[in-house]
Amino acid sequence: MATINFKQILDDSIVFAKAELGGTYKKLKPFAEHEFTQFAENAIFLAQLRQDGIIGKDELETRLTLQKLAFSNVLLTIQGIGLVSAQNLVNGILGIVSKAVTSALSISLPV
Amino acid sequence: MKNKLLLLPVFCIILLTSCKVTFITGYDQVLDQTLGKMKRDFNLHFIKLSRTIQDNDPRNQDFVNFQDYYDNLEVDMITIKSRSQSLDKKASIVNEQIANLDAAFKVFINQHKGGLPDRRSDDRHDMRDAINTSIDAITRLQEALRTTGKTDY
Repeated sequence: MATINFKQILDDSIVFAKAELGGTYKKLKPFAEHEFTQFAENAIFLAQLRQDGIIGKDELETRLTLQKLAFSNVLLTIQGIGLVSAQNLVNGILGIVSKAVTSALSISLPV
Repeated sequence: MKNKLLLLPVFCIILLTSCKVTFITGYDQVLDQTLGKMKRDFNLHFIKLSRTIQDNDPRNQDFVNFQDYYDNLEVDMITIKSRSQSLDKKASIVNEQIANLDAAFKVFINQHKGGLPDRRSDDRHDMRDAINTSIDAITRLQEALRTTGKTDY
């Protein structure tokens, strides 16, 4: 089984966020990086529970919905402070995490 | 010299119209304080709940055993939703955050109502993180609004 490369996910998320946020990113760096890491770790934790058969598809979706709602609030804060579109960030970073999970665990995250 | 003085107001007008300062009138003290209370209450609730989902008793985590917490949560949600509705129309970001928090708590409640079976390998920390993150994000924006009253600080 392939392993998840957390650092790569974080690096890709940061590159994406920097491009979206421009100069505002510096002000939000510690906050954003902590939240990106936590989101990625939790998404991967859930994917592993699913892969191990501990949770079913419905529970995966429900618990991932919680993660997405939380992450949306993080990005709305970034939007409020930085006046950028949160939706682009949500979609972009969800895509990065989903791609990494799919290639490493062969689990498709319903994002 | 007189010509230069005449140019000063023109220069000021150009300068002011070139600078865009966007204000979000989304800070609310009651909202901020209630969020702090909600975070504390939720974490106390989760500590108690997490003890029950990793033991050998399949009934002690039943929703009914935690009804008091959820009743208090509902009261707090009513408070923050009504506070956010009274904010200026420009505070749409804060309103959206409150709606997300409300939705997150509803997901959490439904998950608990549906049953949280005992699992040694699944402490549900992702659910705890999600609620905390949802609250922290709102608090952080509230702090920024309280400090500066504007978005670009």
